[in-house]
Amino acid sequence: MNRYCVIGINHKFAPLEIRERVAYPDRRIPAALRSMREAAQCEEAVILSTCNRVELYAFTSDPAPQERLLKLMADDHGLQSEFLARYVYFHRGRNAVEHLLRVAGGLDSLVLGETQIVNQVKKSYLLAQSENATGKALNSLFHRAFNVAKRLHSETGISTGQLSTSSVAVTFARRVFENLSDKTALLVGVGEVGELTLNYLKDSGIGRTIVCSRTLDRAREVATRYGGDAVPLELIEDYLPRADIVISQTASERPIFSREMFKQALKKRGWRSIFVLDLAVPRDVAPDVDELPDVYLYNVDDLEQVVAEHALTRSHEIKRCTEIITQEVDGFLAGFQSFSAAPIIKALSERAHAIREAEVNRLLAHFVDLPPDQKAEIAMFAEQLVNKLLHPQISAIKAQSRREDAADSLRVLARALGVDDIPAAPKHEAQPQPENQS
Amino acid sequence: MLADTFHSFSQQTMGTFTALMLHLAIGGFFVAAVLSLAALLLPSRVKSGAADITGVASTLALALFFAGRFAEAGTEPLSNMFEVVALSALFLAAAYLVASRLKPMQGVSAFAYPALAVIFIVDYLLAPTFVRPGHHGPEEPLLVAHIVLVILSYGVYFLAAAAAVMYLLQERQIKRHKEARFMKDFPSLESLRKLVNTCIIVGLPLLSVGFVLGFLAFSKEDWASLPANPKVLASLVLWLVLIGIYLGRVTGLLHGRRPFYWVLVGFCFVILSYVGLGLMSVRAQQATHTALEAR
Repeated sequence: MNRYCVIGINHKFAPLEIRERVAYPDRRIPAALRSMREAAQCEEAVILSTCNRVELYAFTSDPAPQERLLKLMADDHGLQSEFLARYVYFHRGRNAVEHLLRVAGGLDSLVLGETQIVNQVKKSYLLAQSENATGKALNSLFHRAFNVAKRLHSETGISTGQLSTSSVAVTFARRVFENLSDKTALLVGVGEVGELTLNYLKDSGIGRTIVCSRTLDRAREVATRYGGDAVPLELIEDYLPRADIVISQTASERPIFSREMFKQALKKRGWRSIFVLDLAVPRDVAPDVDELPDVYLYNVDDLEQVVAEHALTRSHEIKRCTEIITQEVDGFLAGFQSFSAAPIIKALSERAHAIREAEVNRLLAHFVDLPPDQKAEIAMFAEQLVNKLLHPQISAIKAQSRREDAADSLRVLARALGVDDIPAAPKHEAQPQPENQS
Repeated sequence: MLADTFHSFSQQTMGTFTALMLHLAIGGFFVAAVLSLAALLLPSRVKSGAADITGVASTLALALFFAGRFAEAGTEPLSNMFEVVALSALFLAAAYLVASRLKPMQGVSAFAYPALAVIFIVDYLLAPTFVRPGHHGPEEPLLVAHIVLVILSYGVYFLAAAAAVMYLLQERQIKRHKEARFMKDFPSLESLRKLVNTCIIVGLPLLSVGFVLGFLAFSKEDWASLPANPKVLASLVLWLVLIGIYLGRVTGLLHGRRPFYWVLVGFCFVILSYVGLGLMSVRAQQATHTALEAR
């Protein structure tokens, strides 16, 4: 188990300048994987490099892999090991396994519970696999990590609720409207958050976009980007009835939308609902607009409050996630150990049955005239005898293999039976399917 | 006592197969109600698919029950309040299944199945009054068509009421800028509004044609006695409410939450026509049937 290890830096321990310096672009990863296997004597290796973390996962027989991996990481980026050592963390054995499971589940991410990280882990793993840098040990560990991530996201609320105001706004719009493809979004005033929200709406399939600004040129510039129409601010009242979603973010010091404007707009559009996002401070939309039926008004405070609630909900799920991870690590260790015993059991069984076969053949050579059914009886008797003699021993080996300190005793037994080494793992090697980056 | 009444009804009236199907259906709807509520409240632990599978199986059992009943007793089930209510439940279940097949909407099952379970609880509780074993069913084809169409419209209306409750809950949450966990998977306001509108558009002609056929089934001399029948009155008020909602939506006079409140008002009349007035009108019903039988 101690052969699993990870060395890395992340947003918690290293500033952006350091993370930038030690990042591995995709094109450099194959060479780095080769270095890990050759220079750092790792049997298997995976490199995970994202904007928030750079981690080298290894399965190695090296009793002290930390120094080698640190040196390799430092050399790859032209840094001194002593300097890099201030920022890196190193985990081994159970801790390394647990670390990967936490990373894949988004528990170690800057945005708690984010789901993009599992795709990045998958991508890194597939890259390592395509370079033949992974084997049974890391295959099983990474597959376990993908399953754990899936469990955490489906069984807990760690990834529930968006953590950006723009995405929360779009979620609320979706609670009002079934289908955005036949809806029109009206962006009033051009600001960063407003444009980001428009971007989210575009990704969600909004049908039509109208951009309205004091300067028509600026409106045209943004409208062109989103394939929409540009209108001057003076015509806002004419365009309001056409809008299903209104996003307002002007620098006006007074509200530019009154209750009466919305009331007239609702009448003109047959009282179809309007979803209004007032992202401006001071507010662009008069607060009493929210009292109108079929108008759903959200301002910056409303959205930020929802974001804060989501963050709180996610943080409440950490305990449950940790329990699941502990359970999964235990399961992984148990599976790992009992699999390690499999070749020993196989060798023991093969040796006993080889002796049984030789002895039966020797005996039958003395009784050539025996009828075939009696010969078969003798062979069956010998086989059953050997199986019964082996049964308690195999059970004892299996029980021993489940103990924490099994490695040494299994290794002794393996040597006694002439098994080269205790193999490192697992149950399946199916290729994971890469998911689209979100 | 309730169970005894129902049991004796089952023993006297139903065959083994139909009794088995009825009990399977009732039990199934209760299980579906529990599963759908669990899926709504604990979405990470219980999947709504389990409720849907149980619901489909229960609907099938209920359909088989009625197929069996109509085969063994002709139109008798249409004259028995217990079975009339059960037939409404079948139409509600069928309307929900068709609607969810056309447009999958998460969360609606958590209203449809519990509504069905409640209908059966009421049916069981009122079994002593509802059950009239051995009573002959209507033989007049117009009357049979009238009863079936009215019950069908009530079934559709049950679904509209369930969607209206969901709309009002969801709308309040959005207005208050809240996100209740159990409403996370509710359909959008637009979807629920469309569902309610569709139910009204489908239910209104069914109820209207049902009424016309009902009037035609009676002779002119009997028309005078109909307003004295509270069930007829309740249905008439429901029809007027439906017309009002429809016209209010078309003209834009009814907007915001109001049409959905009116749907619930209409739903109260459905309940009244079934339960309250159904109980009070036993005499009037008997008089009506006697008049028909005399003809």
